[in-house]
Amino acid sequence: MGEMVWIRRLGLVILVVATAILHAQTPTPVAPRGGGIGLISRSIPDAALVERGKAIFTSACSFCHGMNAKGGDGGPDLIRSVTVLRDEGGNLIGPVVLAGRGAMPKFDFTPDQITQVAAFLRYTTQMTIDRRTYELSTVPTGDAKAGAAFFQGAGQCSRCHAVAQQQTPSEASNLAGIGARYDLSTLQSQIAYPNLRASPGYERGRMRAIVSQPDGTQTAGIVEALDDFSVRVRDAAGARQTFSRQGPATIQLLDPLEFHEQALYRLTDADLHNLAAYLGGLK
Amino acid sequence: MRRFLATLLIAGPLVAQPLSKTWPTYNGDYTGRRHSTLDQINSANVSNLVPAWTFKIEPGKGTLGNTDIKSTPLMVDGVLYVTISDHVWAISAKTGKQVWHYHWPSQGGIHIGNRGVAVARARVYFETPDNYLVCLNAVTGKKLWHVEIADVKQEYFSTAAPMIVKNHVIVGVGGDSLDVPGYLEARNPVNGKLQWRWNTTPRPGQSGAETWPSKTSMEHGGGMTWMPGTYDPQLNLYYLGTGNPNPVHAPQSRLGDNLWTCSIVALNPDTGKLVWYYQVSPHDTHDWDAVQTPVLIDGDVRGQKRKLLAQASRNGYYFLLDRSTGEHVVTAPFIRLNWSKGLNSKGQPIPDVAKDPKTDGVLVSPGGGGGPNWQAPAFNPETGLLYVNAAESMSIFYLTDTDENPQGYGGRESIQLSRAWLKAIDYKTGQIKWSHQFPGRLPITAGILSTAGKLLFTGDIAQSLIAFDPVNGNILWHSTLGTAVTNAPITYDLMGRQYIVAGAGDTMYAFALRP
Repeated sequence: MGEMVWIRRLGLVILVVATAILHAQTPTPVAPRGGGIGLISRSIPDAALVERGKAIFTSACSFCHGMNAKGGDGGPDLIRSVTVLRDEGGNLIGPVVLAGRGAMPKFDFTPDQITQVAAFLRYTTQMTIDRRTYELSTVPTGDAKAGAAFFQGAGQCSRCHAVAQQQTPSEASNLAGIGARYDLSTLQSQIAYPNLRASPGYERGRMRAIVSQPDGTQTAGIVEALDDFSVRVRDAAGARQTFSRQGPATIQLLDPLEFHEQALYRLTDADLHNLAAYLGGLK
Repeated sequence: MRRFLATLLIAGPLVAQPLSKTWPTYNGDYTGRRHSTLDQINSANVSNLVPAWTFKIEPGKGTLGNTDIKSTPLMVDGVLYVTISDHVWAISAKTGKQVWHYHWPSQGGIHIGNRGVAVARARVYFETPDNYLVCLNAVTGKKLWHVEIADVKQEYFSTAAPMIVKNHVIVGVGGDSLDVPGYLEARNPVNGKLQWRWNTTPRPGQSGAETWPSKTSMEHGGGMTWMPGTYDPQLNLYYLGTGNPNPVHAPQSRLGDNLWTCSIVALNPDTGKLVWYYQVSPHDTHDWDAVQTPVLIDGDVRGQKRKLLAQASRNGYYFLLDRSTGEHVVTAPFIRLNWSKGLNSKGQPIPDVAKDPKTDGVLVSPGGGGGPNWQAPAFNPETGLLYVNAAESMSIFYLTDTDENPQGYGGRESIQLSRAWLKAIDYKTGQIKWSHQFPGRLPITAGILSTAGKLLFTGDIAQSLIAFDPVNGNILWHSTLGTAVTNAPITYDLMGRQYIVAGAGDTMYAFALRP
């Protein structure tokens, strides 16, 4: 892999650290599942520079340009400013700040201060551009009591899922303490369709196959790969075999998550929020 | 060599003929049907289809981004032109051996992929993620010139295959990240100079401006033009689907229908003037670019011969329009969807505001990737069916920017589940004639090819190139490539032998009948 990828990876690490510094009270953002958004065209500045730049911006610039640089009383939106977007380390922002422009007065910033403000603006524009950094709400809006009632009743969740530590284990995950394991948006995703590889229940939720040969021998296990033509099965001992779906063996496929796949299309937004409020309280 | 050059000089008019021996433009011909008249390979002998050659791309060190072959290769006089972002290869269509390789030195931009080149008069044209239109000598691969078509610093990135219509190289741009305005350009094929630019959103005072609340909103309204269109030479109309409005998921600063985003538009290719439009997703909030191929069908409606246009759109609806006037004929959903309250009197879906992104998340089907995304559909005039690879999916959409002036996407989606389908839609009614669900939960990557040999070629979401019976969806043949097809298969005839060629990951696979 090339140098460019390294710089971007480093930049992403810095970005995450910077996020933690500047938003001390909010938890780390949840990465969107599935699909990437490709290469971002700008490098992320050093977090310490950004912090200092924010302080300068807040005291000297935010009156006109707004606290978040989106524009305010008399000052334009800097997030969409071509000057800001093309700037590298202050080379374009600096001259504007030092000379003033139109109604904007000039500011006697030192070169370091210009670099810092430029870093803050770069960081702010990148946070807007890179939607992986957008933070999702952590405040439940549903009704926990309604969620519990749905869980036991119309949702049919309690048919498979226990919520108390000591209940008999079933095929489905025991949800005791789940509210402590996941933040709200991850919990809502798991409710809608549980597919998180990091979750304890992941292996249990995987598709199974029972392959019966004409001579009576059977192979059973987890489906590792499946298409219209073949299925690859991993048995309890860890041995892998691929079988043709065009015979002679007959293949039975079992999806433990079939109920969830159907339920996903029945779930209302209210059900989702209520369940999240209820399960989010199971700490 | 002389024959090669002579054919390249007439590659333009080749496009206007029914698709047969060559593949001279992105969709094969101007209709967008991707239906070849070749039938040497047919349903009776398809089991004799065997590998002919393979070609693995070697982009080299320093290559950025996604390196899957997503482009539809063009085949012009024995040479195939294949791309990924920043790279073009010319390879022999007979043997798969490389003729030349060109690498554009990139200044950045989102490297999600490249859809292919345009070829005319011994020149190759392609777009780059850092927004250049680059012109190469088709014979040698040497760069002749390049022109900037958008600003990478404003988060534009370009992936479209340029379209050649007469003396216009039509190029589109992309980029939803920073709420920039969308537009389509025509450039001079000799030197790249701008001929015209059509803005996807109006400006104050223009008709259509009333569908935006402010000057700022329409100047930052998006509507990207990242896919090639289709063309009717008799009507002299260029048809294009436009992208979604910006800010993508935070619509509070752009209340209104937001013309001409998420619209099928008909433009005069000589002037860039808008002749008619039909908006398939008024006030979209789910990233449902309506850039899917506007397929041109000469058919009939209630016994009357009509020039028609069909789009199986990202939002999950099938639309049939009269392509002379834009008059609406049919609208029908072709996947499960939960975001609309039905159709208005013009056949447009009415969005349910309850399914706009919310801070606590809302369940929407399809997800942002839509039913069909950009992967090419195909239309078979014998069966009268439009074939589409479409997902049935569910996502939770979150609104993250509640400001009265949101910026960037303003929201995010969490994909829950996606199931891949191949659907055969009756063009006259929008009803599903047959469908095939691909096993698994991976995203769709392949486009579709239809042939007069009574075959339908596409890739599944696992690792195979498959030939389906276009009438009933039965699988007639497949080849396990080991990785999923990532482009749309094409076909051509070279010296009396028909080839089927598909790209999967970093390799081009060619098949022909056992000799």
